Formats: sequence, structure tokens, C-alpha cells
Amino acid sequence: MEFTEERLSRYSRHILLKDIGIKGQQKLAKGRVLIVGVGGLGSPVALYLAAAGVGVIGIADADVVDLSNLQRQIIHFTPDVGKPKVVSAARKIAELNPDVTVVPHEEFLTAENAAAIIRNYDFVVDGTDSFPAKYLINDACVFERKPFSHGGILRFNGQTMTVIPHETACYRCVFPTPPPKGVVPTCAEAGVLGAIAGMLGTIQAAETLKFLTGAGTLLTNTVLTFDALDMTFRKISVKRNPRCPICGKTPSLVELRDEEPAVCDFSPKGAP
Amino acid sequence: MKITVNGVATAFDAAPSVADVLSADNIALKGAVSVQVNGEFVDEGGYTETVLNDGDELDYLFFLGGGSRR
Ligand SMILES: [Zn+2]
Repeated sequence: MEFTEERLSRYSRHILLKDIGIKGQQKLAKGRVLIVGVGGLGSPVALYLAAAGVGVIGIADADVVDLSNLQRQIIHFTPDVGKPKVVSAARKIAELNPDVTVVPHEEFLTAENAAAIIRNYDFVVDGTDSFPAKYLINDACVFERKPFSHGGILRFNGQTMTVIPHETACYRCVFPTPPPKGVVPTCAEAGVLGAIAGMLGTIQAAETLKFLTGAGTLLTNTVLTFDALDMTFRKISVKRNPRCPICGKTPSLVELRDEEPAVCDFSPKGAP
Repeated sequence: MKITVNGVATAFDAAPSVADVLSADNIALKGAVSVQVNGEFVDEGGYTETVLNDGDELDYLFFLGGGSRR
């Protein structure tokens, strides 16, 4: 990318950073990132990556903007209700930064299409709200050896980990199989403070930008978890699990499949 | 004896199993958490038989979904 006066000005605060600079900004311009789910987490991720000048941003989502989304899905505005989320998000990204190429994938990731979509990108951000989708992203990224950021939110809590497949712990190393039915509620069932999506999404965005530029140390082999009610943040070290069903010593998962969606209809005692 | 549970030193009268520590924290439902003892994952099947020693560290993590609606 040519650094015109305009671009030098647009990205000046990045260029000032010694860990980014012109070189890092060029890496961002060459970066290709897939955001799966442009909802609570995907919204801030998409906005910050677009603002940062990430060259290609893919967004995969087959959903339509609903009024109940607007409390936290900040890329979508009131007039967008009823529009496909990829259309709404693509317009905001284009307005925010014309340097960015948006690739809309107006579909949900499935065992059939995941590998082919993921393959086109350097890094994947999990912004989904279902365990089948989270496991699918993990598995597809492990099979494709594609680094990704896992993220989850609920109520006042957030949790995230960055995964470099076959090098650092994956989601299944920590949680080998999806939770049994009824054990873990989703945001739609238990609620979530809107700003929590922003807190976690911006951490995922920062990890993505660090990955693309090589700045700092990634949140690999580490789960960052926070409780916004008392603002406690905790980092828990994890390591690759030899019994991991996908990246362990004797993996039982050898091809991509969709996990059964769990029916979650109550909130467990002691859950976050 | 003291066990460090999620970073907090916690007193137990007798050596607790992983299951005891979880139930002391009101985690009733199996499969809701991922457990590490001294940095090693403990599978759910081993919660009762894995007994902790004074000074051990137990960390558990909840499953968190959330993000985009689907
Ligand atoms: Zn693994």
C-alpha cells in the first residue's frame, strides 16, 4: 500500500507506536481477517479492524438485524433492523475506512463450507453465540492450521484465548466436548451487559492486530477471564492437552462435523 | 489445609477431592467447567478420585457462549 499524506494522517497514531510503525501498518494493510458472527463481539472487532486499516475483512453471518441486537451489536443502527447483518456491517466499514475490502459471506459456517471460507484468511475471530459454532470454528481452524481468537460472553463475564493450532492449546484442549444439554445458558437465555461485548470484542481485536503486526505476546496458552461486576481480570495458564480430541496425541476427530446444538433452558447454580 | 482455588487460598478440614472443591463452590452440574490441578487437566471422570494435597492449586473455568445470535 502506498502511504499517501492522507493515509499517513489516518494511521498516524499507529505509525507512532514503535511496535507497529509504517512496517506494521503495511502488514495490517496486507492482513486478511475473517470475523464469524457480526453480533455482540463481531461488531467491535469489525469496527476496530476497519479503523486500523486491515486490508481484507471477511464477515460470515446469515442473520438479520433484530431490534434486540442493538443493545450491544454496535455496528448495527436502528434503521438497519430487518437488514442482513453482513450488509449493515459492510456499509459501516466502507464508511469508516474506504481502504478496507469487505468480503461478505451471507451464510452460517457449517461443516461443509467452513474450511473453504477459512482458507482465504490469515486469522479468524470467533464472535459466535453457540457451542456448535464455537467447536466448528476451533475444529476447522485446527484442521486448516489457521490462528484464531476464541471469545465468549455471558451476563457480566467474558473469556478469551488466542489459538495457534498445533502449537498452543486449542479450545478442545480446555473444553474437550460441548457442555451437556441444559448446563450452560446462552446470552439469549441468560442476558448479557452490552458493554461486556465491547470489552471482550476489543480484546479480540487487539489480539488480531498484534497477530498481524507481530507486536507483543499473544494470549496463547492463556485464558483471560473477567467478571465486570467487580472488574476482576484473571489469566489462567493452560497448555496443550495430550488427551485433546483434535490436537492431542491420539485425536478422535479426523474430519469436520457439526456438533449437536444443546438445548439450554435453565441457568446452573454457580454458573458465572 | 489450604488449596488455592482460582487464585484464592481456601481452607479445607480434610484433603478434598476435585468434586469436593467444586461442590464447596456450589458447582452442582457436571460438565459446566474445565478443571486443572497444578496445571494439569483433570477429566470429569476423575473428579472424585483426584484428591488434593496441601498447597495444591485448582483452577476451574466455566463454559462461556455468547457473541452473535444464532
Ligand atoms: Zn487441542
